[in-house]
Amino acid sequence: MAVTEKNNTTLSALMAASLALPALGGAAQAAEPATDVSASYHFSHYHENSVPSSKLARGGSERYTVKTHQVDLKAPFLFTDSDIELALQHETMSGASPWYIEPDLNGKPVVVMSGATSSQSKRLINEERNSIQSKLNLYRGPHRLSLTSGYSKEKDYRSIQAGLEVAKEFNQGMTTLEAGAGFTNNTLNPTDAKKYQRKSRYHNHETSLYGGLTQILNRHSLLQLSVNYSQENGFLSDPYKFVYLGTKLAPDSRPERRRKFALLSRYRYYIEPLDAAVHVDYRFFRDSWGIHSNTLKLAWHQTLSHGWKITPSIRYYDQSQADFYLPFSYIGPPSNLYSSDYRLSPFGSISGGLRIDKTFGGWQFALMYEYYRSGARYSLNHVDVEDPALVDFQVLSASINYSFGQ
Amino acid sequence: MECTTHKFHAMGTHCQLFLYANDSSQGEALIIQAEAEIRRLEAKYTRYQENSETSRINRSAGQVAGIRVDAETAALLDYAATAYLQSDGLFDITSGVLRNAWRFEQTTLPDSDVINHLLTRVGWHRLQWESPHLTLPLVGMELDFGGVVKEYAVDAVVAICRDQGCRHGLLDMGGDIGVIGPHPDGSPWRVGIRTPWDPDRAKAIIELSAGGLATSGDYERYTEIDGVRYGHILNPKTGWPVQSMVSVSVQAPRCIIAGTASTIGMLNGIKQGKQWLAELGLPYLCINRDGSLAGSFSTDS
Repeated sequence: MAVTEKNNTTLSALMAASLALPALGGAAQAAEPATDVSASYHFSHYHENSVPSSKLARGGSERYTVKTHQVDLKAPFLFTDSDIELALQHETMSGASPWYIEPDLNGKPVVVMSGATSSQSKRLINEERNSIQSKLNLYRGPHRLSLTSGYSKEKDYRSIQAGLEVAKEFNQGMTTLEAGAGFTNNTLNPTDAKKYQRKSRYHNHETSLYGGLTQILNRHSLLQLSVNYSQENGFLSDPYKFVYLGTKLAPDSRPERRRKFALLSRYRYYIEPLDAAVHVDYRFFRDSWGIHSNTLKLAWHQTLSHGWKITPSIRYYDQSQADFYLPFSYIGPPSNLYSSDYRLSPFGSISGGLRIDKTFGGWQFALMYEYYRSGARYSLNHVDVEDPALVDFQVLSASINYSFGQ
Repeated sequence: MECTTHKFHAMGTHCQLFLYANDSSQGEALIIQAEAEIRRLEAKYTRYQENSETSRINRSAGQVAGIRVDAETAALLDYAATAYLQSDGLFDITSGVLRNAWRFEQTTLPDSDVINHLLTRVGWHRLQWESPHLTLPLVGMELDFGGVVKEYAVDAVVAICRDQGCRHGLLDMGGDIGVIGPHPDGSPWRVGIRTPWDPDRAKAIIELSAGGLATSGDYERYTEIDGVRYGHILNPKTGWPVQSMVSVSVQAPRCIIAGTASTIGMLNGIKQGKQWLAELGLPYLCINRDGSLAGSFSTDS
């Protein structure tokens, strides 16, 4: 008898229902409290390449190196149907950062690094940051409610955050809707405030909202869509940066409000014969400062035998400049807003990464490497003046995770 | 790589796990975990133990307040609800109470009043199921996960083995089969479908490299009354055994789906059953009463 596919809705319905079965790695996990304690340690070493001598005016060519240690814990919580996640982070930063940009004798922009003058020497930074974040998840049937909070402290910076998330599964776990809101309050206490023509204390805060949809399309593919909106208010300038305005150096001056909008889509496709999955992520972003950006990330997750997995990935990013971005000016500024921060300049970037995972009993190990390059040459659009402070970096990280009770 | 075989008895049937492990310690670890998972599910869903989840559910029959079930049971109930809906009410995990009328050692037909009384306690539609809250509103109602749990256990073991990097192996739980992956040289497993009258000889050989295979049939348990053969597969709508094929085997991406499809194929009877299976689109094989084969499998017989 010939095989027909007329009754395929029956098969899809059974397939969908079987996918939700937990022992088969089902989607039901989204609304499932942790029953085991799991702990992980993550270390990463982020290293920015030196500024090439052709782009350096003064100061050391060394840029930032950041070492991060993070411990994550996840455990069932006091009440039934709840769990708690904790993340503790300790970061040390050393090196120097771009201070301002000036023209060289030919009018070509070159970067002056912090630490270029003796009064600046304290900005040859050796800093540390400590943070703690927690998330309490409460589950009831297909619903999840999460409360998040966080605290982060640096010598000259303090941040407190709180948030709320709700999620609901429909359709036997095939569809998940999520919504959330968050609030962050930041206090800045610039060191050497007077030398930088700054006050000793500034504040800003950010309110964010997001909504998301996850849809399991079939047993091979999944689509996630989310929309984020946030608004920052307060002092949003960089207290340690200046702009070269011909006759004087003026402190970085940005608007006191920034509205940001982002649209994210994630698609995952499992290729059964190869035991591999393709991940395609795309992000569109725009803000009230005039920046719009596109990010495309492709990753190939290949499962191998003996509990090994290897994931090569590539990421492309492109952004337009902020309206008030100004590398430097020979005459006064066109308005009272200006910044020469390379992160507000027009550029493109490309990065490649490789991740290796190994599972062994209740243990999981991972090793990751990423190499990132940015510049005008990677931009989709024509860039008049490339910011000389655009950075190239590499990150090497490793993590180890253990689930108790396996 | 060498093939390790582990044989044991669980869920009322013979189980055989064939594994090609990377080394003997991995093989041993997988065997222990596989058997533990099967025993966990057996203990949780058996009807024969007071403290099982199934017994707890069945004890709640008649309680208006109902009970709350855990996520795994909820997913199984959701699955059963889907199977009920997709089979137009033939696949029904509430039909177990009908066993009280059909004891397969009996020599006379049951009284139709008994069947009719039992039928008032049968029917998924009589349950109140609002995940994770379940109510069996009538005293005497029962759930029986027997029709899904063995197949689910097969899939669970396949998932455990694959999660730990094992890519070659097969689990057979009394004819419910899950494939972890083909032999290391890429060749498929060859699984025999037995005939009732010649159990030592395979009637057909089915080649499997992935997914699951399940067979539903009434050749193992039946009774003959006044020259008529009554199998153990009962129609939950009439309360009577269905007159169907000798057996139906279905291959599916998962054993649980193969099991559900083969059961629904049987429940639909000889003609409609084949039509339903053909429309489902999964490879299947029926053994007819006269010993002939029908279906969409390419087989060596």
